Amino acid sequence: MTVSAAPVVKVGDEAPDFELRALDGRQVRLSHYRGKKTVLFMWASW
Amino acid sequence: MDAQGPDKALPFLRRANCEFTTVVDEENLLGQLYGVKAIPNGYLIDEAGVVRYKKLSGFDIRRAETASIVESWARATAIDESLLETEAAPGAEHSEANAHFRAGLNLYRDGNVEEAVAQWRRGVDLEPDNYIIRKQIWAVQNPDRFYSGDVDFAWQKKQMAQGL
Repeated sequence: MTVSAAPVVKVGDEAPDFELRALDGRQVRLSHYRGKKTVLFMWASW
Repeated sequence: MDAQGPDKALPFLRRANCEFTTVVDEENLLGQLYGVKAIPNGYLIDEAGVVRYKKLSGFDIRRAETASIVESWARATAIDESLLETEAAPGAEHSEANAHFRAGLNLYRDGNVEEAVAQWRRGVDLEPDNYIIRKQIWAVQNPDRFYSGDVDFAWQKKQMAQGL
């Protein structure tokens, strides 16, 4: 198990890109939204 | 962000009648990538992919403060600097807690629920304020408090009061 300091994404940083699956099955990358203003909202049903 | 997968999110989304794209983060990728330990969080990202505003916990569109920030963001380019928050970087325990989260996730997927919970418990011992991990334990052990209709937040408060 490797242990290292975790990143914290700050205002002014580039938002780290990621790819996750949408509920309709398609793959979505954050970078798809370049050129548009984006709201990244993290929530849970719990 | 639910280790138990997209099926758990779907009923809530249908009720909310969402128009925005929702993706499922079963492995807490964003928790690890963005260094977050709880939700709900909001990041406003500009056209170049740069974070211009963030709010950890309490980012709730039903709150007037959140709604007005998102609205003015959509219409203009400037964010009121006084709204920006500073915070300390998470330490090494965040990575270690997430390593236990991932180990627990693999065990859970193999059907070893007790061992999965034991791993998640170790993650929470390292980071007591990591509610992303803590709630996986609660949800797996008490599905009726989460997935049978409304989430039972009064029950969660009791859990927290008892340090569970």
